[in-house]
Amino acid sequence: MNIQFKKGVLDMCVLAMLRNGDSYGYDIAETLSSKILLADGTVYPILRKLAADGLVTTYLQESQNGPPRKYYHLTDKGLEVLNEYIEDWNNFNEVVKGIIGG
Amino acid sequence: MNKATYLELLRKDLGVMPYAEVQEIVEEINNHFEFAADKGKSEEQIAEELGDVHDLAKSYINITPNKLPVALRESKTATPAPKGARVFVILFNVFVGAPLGFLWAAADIALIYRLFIDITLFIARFALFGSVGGYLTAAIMFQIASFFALIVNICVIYFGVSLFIRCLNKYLRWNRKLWNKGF
Repeated sequence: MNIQFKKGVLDMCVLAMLRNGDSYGYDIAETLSSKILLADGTVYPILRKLAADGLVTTYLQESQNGPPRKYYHLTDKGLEVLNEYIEDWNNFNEVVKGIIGG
Repeated sequence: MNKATYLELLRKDLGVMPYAEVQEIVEEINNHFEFAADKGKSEEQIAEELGDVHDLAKSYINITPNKLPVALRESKTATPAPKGARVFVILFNVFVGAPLGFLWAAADIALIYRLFIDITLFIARFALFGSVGGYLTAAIMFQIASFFALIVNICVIYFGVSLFIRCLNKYLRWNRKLWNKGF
């Protein structure tokens, strides 16, 4: 699939994943990259940008084995933006389908 | 590409960003390596799945830079220094780690020392071939047996030393982890 398509919706997908509950970087990277077939690394800069924009917050949690996990939590602002994204996406989808005849 | 190279290239490419941010990013990617390694993946495989390191660095740099520090400072949480673990590390090293490591290293060195003596004797015995007379067949058999004994010795030393290095590496990593992050 066209890489530009994937990149355009990735912010929305990351936010949507966090809507189901807090998650840590590796988990998000692995889940999304296996579903959308992206490089695992793609997700990390996006998470950082979302944190900078205040759409998610982070906290560290020690784990039994392995390094401490940096968890990401969806903020109210993040949820708002996600809902906007989804609405835009659905509208856009309809328009594009009308044009390409899907 | 292994983990060290990947992180080094990433750090280099991110050089235009503030140091603290580079540290955070490199740590997050380093953690990714550790999580994936726990799932049994090799460093090379993890690096490949992460994608091109220059692309990754570019994605980070393209994020609006001035908003970043504030947001990340707010969301950071401190982890307390693991005092108990550090005491444990010191005591464990003094009473267990250092003596065991010393014994092991001494055994390796003794074996290597012994090997050199054996090799010297092995070569020296050829000089005696002229004087063994009727026992030449026995002398040759003895040399052949000695030769195989030498090979076995070399194998034992090789595994002893390489295992020592691997164990030392793991042991140091384990120490560092306990020291920095506690149990």
